Amino acid sequence: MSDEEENERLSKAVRRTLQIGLTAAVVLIVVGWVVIVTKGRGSDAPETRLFSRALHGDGTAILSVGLVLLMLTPVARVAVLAIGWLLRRDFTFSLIAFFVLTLLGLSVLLGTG
Amino acid sequence: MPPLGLTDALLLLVIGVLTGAVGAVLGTGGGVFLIPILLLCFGVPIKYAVGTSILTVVATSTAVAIGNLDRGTANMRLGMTLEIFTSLGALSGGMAAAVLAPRLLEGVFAAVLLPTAIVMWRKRAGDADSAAKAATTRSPGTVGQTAVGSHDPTRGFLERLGGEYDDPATHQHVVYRLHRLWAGATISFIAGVMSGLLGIGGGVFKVPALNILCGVPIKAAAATSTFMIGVTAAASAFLYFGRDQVDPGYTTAVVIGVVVGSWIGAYLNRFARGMLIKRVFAVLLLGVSVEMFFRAFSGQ
Repeated sequence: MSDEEENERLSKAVRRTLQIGLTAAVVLIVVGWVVIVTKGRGSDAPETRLFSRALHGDGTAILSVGLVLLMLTPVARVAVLAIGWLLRRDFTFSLIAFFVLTLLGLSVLLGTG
Repeated sequence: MPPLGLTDALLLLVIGVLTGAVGAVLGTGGGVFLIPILLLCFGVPIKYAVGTSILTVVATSTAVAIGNLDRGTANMRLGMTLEIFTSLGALSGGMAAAVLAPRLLEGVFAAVLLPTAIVMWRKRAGDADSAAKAATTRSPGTVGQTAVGSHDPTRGFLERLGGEYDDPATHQHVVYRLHRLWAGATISFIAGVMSGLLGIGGGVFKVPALNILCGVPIKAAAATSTFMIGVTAAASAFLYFGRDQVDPGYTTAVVIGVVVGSWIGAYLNRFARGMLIKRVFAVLLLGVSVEMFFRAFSGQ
């Protein structure tokens, strides 16, 4: 496979990741708003139970999960490139991507820790 | 934080649509408009306005990046390399924002609006010139396997940070090399700090720097900057989210609006007379900057 074709494949994978992440986040946010408008806001339980509250149909929690998904979309994009470059044995750029991924992981830890 | 009623939510949705559309036409993420609106019209404290804005920036840059990847103008290798510096900057800025006084943040924001207004005023007129100066162009099909930026481990790192793309406006295949990586890295770090501190994308710093200092053609510079902004914004978004400074109601209303708005804006872009719109908004930003300075200094 030529280099140009490989680049094309990688950029397609990145585009697909971004599309899936953004669509899923938007769908969850719309569902969250529909739930809030029809059933009311839901309880103000602590953030740690966010996902279980969302699963139990808490509108505000569904909105928050949508936002978390939105924030994770660029992270997933970095992961796709890190793995994609690794598979192509392009170690320099794979290493760079893994380093960026580490910094994002640090941000998640600092944010939730 | 004022509680959000359904009417306000709908109003925010409309504001989001307008911000997204204007942002897409003007080539900004929209944070520079959104923060003053939340601050001055909705009475949202600056740190919450920044939290809302940074999530919005993640959404717009993701939506716009999908389109840019279609056209192949974004340089993924260069983007990822500079993301090291924007992410480090965004983490520092996001952590600093937690301890800085709101008035100081408002003052810094007002100061950042000034160069933004100037860049917006001057845009477009200089675009064609700088692209021509920065890059060599070839007709399509002459580049082949030896293209700049291709995967060949024997070539230098800097050489592989260059790129190429087809410009539909001029029907040319543009090939460029990267110069002064250190300058791109430094500006990326500063843009990251501003992004983490103020909830903006930071493209206003990166695009001119990549173009003028690093020799990246303006279209590739803009697309690569947008490509990077999602990651930069995410790096500080988790910090704001963790500090409970991202209100789900306010943020999701704006996010949905902005995503729809950026689609509308991309469509409008084909017809809009860019120059006049840019100048109108440049003057508007200048006015907002003065208002924000007044607010920061008087403490009102």
